[in-house]
Amino acid sequence: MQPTRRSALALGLGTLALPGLARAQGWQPTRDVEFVIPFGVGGGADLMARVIQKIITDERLVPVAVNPVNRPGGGGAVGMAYVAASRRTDPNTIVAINGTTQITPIMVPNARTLTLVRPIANVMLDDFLLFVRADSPHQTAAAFAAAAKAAPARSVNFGTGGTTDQMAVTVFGRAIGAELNMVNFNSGGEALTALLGGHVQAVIGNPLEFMGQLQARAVRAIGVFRDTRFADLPDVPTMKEQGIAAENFQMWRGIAVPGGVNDAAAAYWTEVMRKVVATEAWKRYLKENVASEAPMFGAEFTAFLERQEKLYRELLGRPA
Amino acid sequence: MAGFAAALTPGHVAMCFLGVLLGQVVGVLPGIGPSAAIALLLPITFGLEPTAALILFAGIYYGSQYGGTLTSVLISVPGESSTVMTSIDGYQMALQGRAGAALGIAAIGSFIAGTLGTIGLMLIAPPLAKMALAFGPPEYFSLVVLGLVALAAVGSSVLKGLVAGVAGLALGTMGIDPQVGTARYDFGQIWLLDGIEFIVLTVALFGLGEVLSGCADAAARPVAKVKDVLPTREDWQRSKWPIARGSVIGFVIGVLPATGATIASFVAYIVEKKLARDPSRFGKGAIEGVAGPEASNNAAASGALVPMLSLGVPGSGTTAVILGALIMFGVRPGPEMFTTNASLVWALIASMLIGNLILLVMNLPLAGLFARLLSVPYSWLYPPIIALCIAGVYSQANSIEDCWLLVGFGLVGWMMRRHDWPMAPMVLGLVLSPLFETAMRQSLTLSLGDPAIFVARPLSAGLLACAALALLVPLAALAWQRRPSSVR
Repeated sequence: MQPTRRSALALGLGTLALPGLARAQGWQPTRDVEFVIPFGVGGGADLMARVIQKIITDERLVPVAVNPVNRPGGGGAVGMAYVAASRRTDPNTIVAINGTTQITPIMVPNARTLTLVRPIANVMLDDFLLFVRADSPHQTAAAFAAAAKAAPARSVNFGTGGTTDQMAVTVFGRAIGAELNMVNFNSGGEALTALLGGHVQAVIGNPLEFMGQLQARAVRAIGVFRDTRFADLPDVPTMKEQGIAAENFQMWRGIAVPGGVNDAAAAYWTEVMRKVVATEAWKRYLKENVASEAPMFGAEFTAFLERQEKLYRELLGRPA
Repeated sequence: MAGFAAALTPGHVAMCFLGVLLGQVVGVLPGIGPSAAIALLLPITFGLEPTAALILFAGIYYGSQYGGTLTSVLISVPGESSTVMTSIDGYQMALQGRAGAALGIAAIGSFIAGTLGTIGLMLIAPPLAKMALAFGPPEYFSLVVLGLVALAAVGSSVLKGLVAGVAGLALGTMGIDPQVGTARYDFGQIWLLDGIEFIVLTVALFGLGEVLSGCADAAARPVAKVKDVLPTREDWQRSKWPIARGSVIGFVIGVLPATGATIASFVAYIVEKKLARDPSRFGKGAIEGVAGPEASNNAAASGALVPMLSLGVPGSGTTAVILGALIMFGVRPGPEMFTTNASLVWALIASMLIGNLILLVMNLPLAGLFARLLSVPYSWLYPPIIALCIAGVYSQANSIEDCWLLVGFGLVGWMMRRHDWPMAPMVLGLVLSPLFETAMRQSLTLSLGDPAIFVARPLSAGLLACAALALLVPLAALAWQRRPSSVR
C-alpha cells in the first residue's frame, strides 16, 4: 500500500508542477510519437505497450498521437538496433524495454545493449508459470519434472517466446537436473500456438499471454516461479511447495527513450510514466494480468537494472 | 441474424463504408499498409464502442486488398506483397488498353472470394482453426518450400526464376538474425541492421525499374487505346474458375497463422498457370493471372480472421493489430470469443458481407474511370510515378538511406527488365526469407539436427511431395516432348 500512496502523492505534485516545468524547459513532443515495441504483435511486451498507449491517449497525457510500431526479432535486438540506428537522438520516440532486452546482449556480444537507450521507468514485474496443454498427463510440476528427468536428454521440448523465457527454462532445467530442448519463437503468442498444436510439450511464460487460454481450459498452469501463489490462481502451487528448488524468477518491464535524448525530454517522459502507473486503468490491467506493481524511476531504476544484470549474468554463467 | 441487425444500424454501415474507403486509399499508397493505417487510427477510435471500431478496422483490412490492386495494374507498383502477382499480368493488360477489364475482374473476383471466405468463416471457423494448429515449424518450412518452387514457374525461364528467387532469399538474410540476434551482412552500416524492407525492393524493381526502362526505350511505351472498360463475357468465362479456385486456396492458406495473403496469391497464380491450356499467355496479360491471385488474397483476408476469432491467435500482421485493438477495448481474445462475445463476432462477420458489397458497387464504376487515366501518355505519368515511389519509400521509415536503396535497386530492376529476368520471385524470396529460415531452424532444434523431421511428419511430407511434383512434372513433360523429336 505504502508505495502506491507515495506514487499517488508524487503524481499529485507532478501534475501541479508540470505545466510550469514544461514551459520552463520548453520541451513537448514536436510531432507524433513513435512507440517502438521490439517484439512481435500479441506477446506480453506488445500487449503492455498498447495498454500504456491507450492510457496516454485516454488521459491526454501527451498532446500528440502515440503510434505503436513493432520491430520484432533477435530477442529484442532488432528493435533496440533500430532505435540506436534510426532514432538515436529523437525525443519523440519511446521504446518498451524489459528483461529480454537486457539479456540478449549478454548472450550475443554484438547485439545492442541497454546502454544505447536511456531507461526512464519500470512499470511492472511479471511472474513466470509452467504451462502444459490441457490434455497433458502431468497434473503438477513435480510429476512433469519426474517425467522430464526420466526421459533422454533434450527430448522434452519447451517453446520459448524470447530470451527471458529461455532463462526461465534454464532455471527450471537446472533445478530438476534435466537437459531440456528449447525451440525459439518470435513471441509468447507464437510459442502458445505451438503448445496448443502439440509441437512442444511445455511453455514457461507470463500469465499475461496465457489468461485467455487458461480460462478456456485449453492450457493448464502447473507451477509458479515465486514464493507465493497467485490470488487469481489459488489452485496452482509454487515450485517450492512441490519440492522443486527453482530460483525465483521475475521479469521487469519498463520504458526508455533513445540514448541521445536530452534531460528535458527525459524528464518529460518520466513525468508521463509516473502518471500512467498511477492511473486506475493501469492498476486494473496489472490485476487482470496477474502481474506485480513495481514503479521505479531514475536512479532507483538504474540501480535495479545493475542488480538484474548481475543476476542474469550469474544465472547464465557469463560473468562480465 | 442478430449480427446482421447489429451490423445494419446506420452508424455501423457508415463505419463499414468509411473503413473500406480508407482501406482502399491506404492500399493505393505504397508504404502505408493496413496495419499501419489501423495503428494510426487507433487513438481516434477509443471513443467508439468496440463493435463499431472492429467493423472500421475490418473494413480497412479488406478494403486495402482492393486498393493495392489499382497501382499494381495501372503503374506496376504493388502496394502490398499480396498484389505482386497481380501486377505481372495486370500491368500487361493495362498496356494493351485493358486496364478496365483487369480492375473489373479483380473487383468481381475479390467480391466473390470475400463473400465465400466470409461464409467459410461463419460455417467452419472453429474446426478449421483446430486443424491449422497442426501446422508446426516443419510444416511451415515445407509450405514455404512449396511456395519457393512455385516461384520458379513465374516468368519465361525456370532457371532465371530460381536465380531471382534465391537472390531474394539471400537479400532477406541481411540484418539481424531472427533467432539469436547477431548482425549479418550489415557492412558496418547501422542502417542496414534492419535489412532491406519489402516495400523498398518492390517499389524499386517494379515501379522505378519500369519507369527507367520506359525512358530508355526512347519511344515511350505505346499504350493501346483504352478498350473494354469492363470485363467482357469472354473475360468472365475465362475467369470464373480461377476465381473459384483462388477463393478456396486463399481461404485455406489464409487460415494458417503467419503465412497469409502473400503465399496464397502466388499459389493461386501458379495453379492457374499450370492448369491453363496455353501457359505461355501468362506474363503477357492473361486475365486468369489477375482473377486467381486477386480472389485468393481477398479470401485469405477472411481466412486470417479464423485463428484470430476462434483461437485468439493472430493470423497475419494486420489481424494482430486488430487483436491488440480488441484487447484495448476490453475484449479478451481467446478460444471463447465466439461464445462470450458472440454479438460482436457476428456483427463483424455480417459487416464483412456488407463491406464486400460496398466495395463491389464502389469499384466497378471506378475501374472504368481509372482505366481512362491511362489515356494520358505514360511519358507524362512518369514524374508523378517517381514521386509516388520516393514518397512511399521515405514514409515507411523516414530514412534517406532507403531512398538510395530505391535508386540502386531501381537500376537493378531496369537491367532485369532489359534482360528478361522475372522480378516477382526476387521480391517474394525476400518476403519469405525470414519465415523460411526461422521455420527451418526451429524444426532442426525440435529434431536435434536431424533433417528427417521434414519427411517424417505426414503433413510436411505431403507439402514437400507437392513441391517435388511441381518441379518434376514440367521436367518430365519436357523430356517426353523431346524424346520423339530426337528419335525422328
